Amino acid sequence: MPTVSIRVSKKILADVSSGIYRTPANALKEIVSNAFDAGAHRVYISTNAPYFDTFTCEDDGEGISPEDFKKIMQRIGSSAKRSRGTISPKTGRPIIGKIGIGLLSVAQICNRFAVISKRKGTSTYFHATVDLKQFEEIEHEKGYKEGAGAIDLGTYEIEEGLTDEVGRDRHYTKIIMEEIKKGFTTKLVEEKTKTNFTITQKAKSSESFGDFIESIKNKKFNEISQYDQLIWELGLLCPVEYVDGGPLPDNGILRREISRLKEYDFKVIVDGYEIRKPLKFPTDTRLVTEGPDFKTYPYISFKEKVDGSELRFTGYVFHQRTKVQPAELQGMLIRIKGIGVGSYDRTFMHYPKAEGPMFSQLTGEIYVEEGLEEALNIDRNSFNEMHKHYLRLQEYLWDFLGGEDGVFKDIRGRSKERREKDHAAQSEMELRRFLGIIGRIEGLSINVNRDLKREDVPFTYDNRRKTVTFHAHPFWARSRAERAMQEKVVLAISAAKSGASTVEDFEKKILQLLSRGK
Amino acid sequence: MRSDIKKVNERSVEAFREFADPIKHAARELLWLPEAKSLREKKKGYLKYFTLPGKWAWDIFFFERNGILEKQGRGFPHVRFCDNNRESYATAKRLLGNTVGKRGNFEDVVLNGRKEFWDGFPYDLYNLDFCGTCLPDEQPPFSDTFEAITTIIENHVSRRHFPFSLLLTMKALADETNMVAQEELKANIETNRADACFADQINEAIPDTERFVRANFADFILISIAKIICHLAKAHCDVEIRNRAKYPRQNGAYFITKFVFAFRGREQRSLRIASPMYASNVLEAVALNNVMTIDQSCISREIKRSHGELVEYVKSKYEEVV
Repeated sequence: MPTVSIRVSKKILADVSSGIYRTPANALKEIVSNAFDAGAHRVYISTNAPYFDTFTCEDDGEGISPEDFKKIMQRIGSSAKRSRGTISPKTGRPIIGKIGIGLLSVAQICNRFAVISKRKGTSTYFHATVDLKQFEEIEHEKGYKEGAGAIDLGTYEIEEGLTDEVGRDRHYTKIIMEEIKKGFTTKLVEEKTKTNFTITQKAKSSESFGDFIESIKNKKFNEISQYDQLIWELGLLCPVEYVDGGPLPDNGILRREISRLKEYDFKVIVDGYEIRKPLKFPTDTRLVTEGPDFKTYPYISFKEKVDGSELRFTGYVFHQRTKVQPAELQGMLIRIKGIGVGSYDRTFMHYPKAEGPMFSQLTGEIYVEEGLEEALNIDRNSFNEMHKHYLRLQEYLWDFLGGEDGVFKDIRGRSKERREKDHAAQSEMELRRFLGIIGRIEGLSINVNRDLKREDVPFTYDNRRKTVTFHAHPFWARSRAERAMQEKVVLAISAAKSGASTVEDFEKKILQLLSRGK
Repeated sequence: MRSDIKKVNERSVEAFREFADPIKHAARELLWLPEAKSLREKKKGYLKYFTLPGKWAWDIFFFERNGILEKQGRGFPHVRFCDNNRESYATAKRLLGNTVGKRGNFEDVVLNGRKEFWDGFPYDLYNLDFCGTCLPDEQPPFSDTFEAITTIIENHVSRRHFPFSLLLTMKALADETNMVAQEELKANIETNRADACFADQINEAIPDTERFVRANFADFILISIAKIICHLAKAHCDVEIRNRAKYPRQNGAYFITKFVFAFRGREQRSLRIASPMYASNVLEAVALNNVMTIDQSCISREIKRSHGELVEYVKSKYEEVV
């Protein structure tokens, strides 16, 4: 078997060397994207936790031919990009990325890997073993960093024409990653004990992702292990379905999105878990049981030609009165063709004004269906923030949040309304307490009515029915607190009037009632 | 010359056919299951199991279905496995969820202190189901496989973990068996013949060693391997040859041989070369009338049914994916 060199463009290598993937999940997500593009319905990832010495990924996609594999390896990163905005005619799915980038992400994870793939409709498969150079070796090579061109990343051997036991009908790609890079697994391995106790026993022995999510729900991210974070984050980033009942209390506006994910029938199973998007709002269940105090804002829908190319996205913004937990869900997550880019952006694309705690109460997703891909950096986890599409999306979002009818104004309005409601409820309680005092001191039961029809008097007192009715009248103070005091005085006068026989008696009763009702 | 990958691939396809074969299933039912059941009874709980399961992990699913192994939601918490073939390892990992595995060969896993094996040690049941021989040409006569088995036995002794059992399967094919090892094993038979304790039985079973080996290579392996294992154990613990079997492959071109050994702890270590137990083991090993030959006649209706169910079960695991 001949050994063949793998070429990679210097520019891309510079990015690789700096460790482009921020988290293990970000690197694995690229492999999942490739499987998604290949029409896979099931992707099985194994990390061999808690050892993390060998990662495997197997999908039932249409596979890759040995010829295509060789082409990609000839020059990683310059492999023909799939045309933008295309939908796969076979699967009806949007095509996400570049195969080369997927393999580059594998290079981020390990120093040695094997790719085994069988194309749909063929009876043979190929097995390639890839050995990558240590980055330090490459760095010593002459000409590294100088100018354009390509450099050797390592070598591979390929064996073609192999047969398996499953016959022509089966097609798959298996990637077996070995010699996992230390940087990739150090944290995962160090925390293996933590892994064992952060999730509950029930979740540990369950194959339900729901149990897993439930067990880490009220924890801060630094309280859960890196491994649990990996599972959680991978669920968040992949084009898989949401957890049951998620993401919104009423998913009406996301009907299209949810049914699209269902139609993909794309499942990712990590170490036996079928992962889902771990989103179910509100995250604070008290907000549901103690009266809804959250809101989904009108569905975002945008379509425009920006700088000659189409930018199309939809999305939602959700607000809850308490902080969204875990904090990693605060902000906006941009998905390009279903795949999450980076993580939730808590700055809301660098929103220019300080909005205090409101930032921590907001969450949302933007589903980009067309455009923005050009703005993706090579890591596919961040954006070139000067790109026209990025700037247009930013402008739209800022306006959606901070515009005249924007989210922040609405939150402020709702917050004011809620405060008023709270105050009104408090005043009413005060009033009831005062009526109790009147009852105890005067032995008098006074009814209170509110008649908001405008009258020329602020209140009326029906002595026979012992009923005070408050009317809408400019007499009443605007401030809730002052008004509560006024109402007490009125009640005290009415009660004293009804029981007093002399002016002195009347004064005495009023003073007594008001001093008790303070 | 065929490449390594090609060779491994061919073996994998062959192993798949082998694993799905009803004869092989009969061996599971008749040899493995009674031993596993008796061990489970003694342990009063699920067994800790180490295996070389091959691509489709038939044995794990077989023991799961028979209540020997515990399955928790995502995998088998008390099972560990290894497989040297990358492709088989990936598929087994996928089928077994979060069960711990190691991509590597058995000998490396044991002799090089791999955590994936030793963190789970000691096990109650070892299933060393080799596609090839335990005495390969590319290894020294006393192969790494036996070195690894010795290490396991020694560590059981130091941890006082008894009883435990070993299910061993290997191919009996002269062409693939280390020549030096063959000569040593033959010489060993001659040494036994010279010992008054064994002379009668040896003379009766093997009047002429050379001729016997040429004509009955599988029996030669059945005797020799049983003797090796008993020899390895004799300084550390008691061992019992619980069962042996053979069945032909490729129209008798070679045989698959199977062994079941049960190990028990000993109060006092004895380094005597021929302890009473060892002597009886040698006699037991030489006696071939207790070797089961598995053929179609062994496949009862019950075994047929359980085979069908296992095939469906394993397939359903696989179909979940593809």
